Amino acid sequence: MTDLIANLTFGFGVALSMENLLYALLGCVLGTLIGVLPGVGPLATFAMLLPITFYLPPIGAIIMLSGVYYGAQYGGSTTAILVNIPGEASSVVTCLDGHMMARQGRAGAALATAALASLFAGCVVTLLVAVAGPPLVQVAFAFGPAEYVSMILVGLLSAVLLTQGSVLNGLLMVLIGVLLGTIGTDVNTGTQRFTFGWTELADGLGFVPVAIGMFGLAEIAGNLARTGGKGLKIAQVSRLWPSREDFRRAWPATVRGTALGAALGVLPGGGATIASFAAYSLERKIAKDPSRFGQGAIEGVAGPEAANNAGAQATFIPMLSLGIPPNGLMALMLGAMIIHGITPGPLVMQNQPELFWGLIASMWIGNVMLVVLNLPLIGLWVKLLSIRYAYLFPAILLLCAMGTYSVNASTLEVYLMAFFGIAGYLLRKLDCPLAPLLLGLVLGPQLEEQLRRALLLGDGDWMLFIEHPISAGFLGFGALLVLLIVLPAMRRRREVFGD
Amino acid sequence: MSRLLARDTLTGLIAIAIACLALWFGRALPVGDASFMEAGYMPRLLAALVIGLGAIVVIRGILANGPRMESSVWRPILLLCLAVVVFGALVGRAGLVLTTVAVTLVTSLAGEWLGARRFAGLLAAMVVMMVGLFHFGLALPIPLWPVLR
Repeated sequence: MTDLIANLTFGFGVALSMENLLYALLGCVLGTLIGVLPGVGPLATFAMLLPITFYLPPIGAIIMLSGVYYGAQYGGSTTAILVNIPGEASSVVTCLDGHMMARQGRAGAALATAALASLFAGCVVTLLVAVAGPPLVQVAFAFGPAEYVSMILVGLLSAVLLTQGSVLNGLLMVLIGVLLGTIGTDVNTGTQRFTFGWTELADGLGFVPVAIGMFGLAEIAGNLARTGGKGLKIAQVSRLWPSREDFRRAWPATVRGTALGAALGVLPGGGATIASFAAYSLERKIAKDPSRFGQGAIEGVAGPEAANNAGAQATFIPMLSLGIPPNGLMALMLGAMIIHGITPGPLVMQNQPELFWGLIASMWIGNVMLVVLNLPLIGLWVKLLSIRYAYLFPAILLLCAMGTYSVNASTLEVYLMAFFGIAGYLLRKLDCPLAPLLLGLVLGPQLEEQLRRALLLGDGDWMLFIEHPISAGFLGFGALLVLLIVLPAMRRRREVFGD
Repeated sequence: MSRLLARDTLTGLIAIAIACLALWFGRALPVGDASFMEAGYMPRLLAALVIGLGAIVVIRGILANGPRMESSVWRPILLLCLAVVVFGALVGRAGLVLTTVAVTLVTSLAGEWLGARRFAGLLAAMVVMMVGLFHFGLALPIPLWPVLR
């Protein structure tokens, strides 16, 4: 306990430095900005901003990117409520009741509820990260290669199982991602694989061009194809504060959403999206009058919003302590850390405590900043919503292209980004989820390295993954997940989620 | 024929094609065995898995005769990618200003037409943004104007 307080004090010392406060603020503003702007999701934002952070000091960069990460969650719910367009997958359910509230003239109450529920969830779960991180790190130190292999496999598997869409297609995407991850110099033998003589590929296929192509370009194109670049209809915001009655209903839903989000966020493959869906169905199930849902029930905003923020923050737990990103966004965060020379995993807390504790402290600061940014300034964000897309997307495209180019000053990576843009667009049309591919690409090299090490030590005996108890536990958990998902009842629910 | 165009069938066929490419271009890589994997082990293992799973997806697609790929608008994505290629081709030679202008021109073809005056404003804003952010802000070593050799 005293340790925790000492560590947190240390963390606040780092996060409260003028420089880091500025980066946190910048991250929150950018995150909100791009979360609010229709047609730019958090993944695209992240991919776009990532290269720019290479010019910052590592701690500042990670603090800023985290700010973007949860800032985009806030911004995403603003568009969901006001324009009925989910800024991102995790605010899909916020559209249902949030936008209905807005149409009833209660937009302000919905926005305030979303912001306050997120603030509560963010603060609680950040504390959880601080408490759960150190013991998990101790566990991680006991891991050998076999345990890492099983953990990564289960992580990839559940990333597929827990997201919407076809499970088989998701598995295919993961495998193709891991296959793409084998491009480059083989670490063990130095052999060049699939590089076609391009020196730029010797370090592997960069995830920046892949991510920006698939999530940036393909997303802009999708928006243009859907709307023809036209404007959107926006609800009016009048009264900001929720009424006493709203407050009384929203409060318990927030607590439930936080708990659910934290539990689901820690799971590999979990995170914000699944948490918000689960919280919504929970609220509807326990409500005295379920028919109010979809008609502007405030619990339907508070629960999912708390859950998606809790889920988003909780994904930092496996990420920081085990080095395993549970979703596409965290995969990008992992990539950012690697480019900054930080290897995420148990060693971070030991070797770079200022990074770990500074980041945690900055999450509290960032969450408070976001409420301050969002509620009083809501009018400003609403104005931004009315900018015509025709002005926006050339800017986004230029930033994407420049972002990719500036990483290695490589034109090949710019062309690759164009290629993955088309590929991503096609895959979307084919109903293939793209996040698993990115996750496979990021985790693939680690998976291969650990697999080879495990089998080298185990003399090529594949049974060793079942013989090691921790590894067997992970695989058992994976098998359980498969069983649960393949059960038809579960499948029906997934389809409901998919709507 | 129509069954071959079902969305799932197409997905599976594309996956199998990717795996075959990996097998072909990786044919010279040594494999080794499980106790000592060489560079070619993982790619072959993964390709085999992709082909197996892809085949299941194809068969399922043919049997179920599921939904066709929704007819999609290809103009925006192709124009955006063209703009990116233009960016790649110009950025090292033509300088930041001309590159920005050219890329904005191509990009704008993908969306609604703003009208000449508004478009000129957009062009100016883009040049200011790019030069301000990357030349003055991050001080990237990218020339502003064409490099004459």
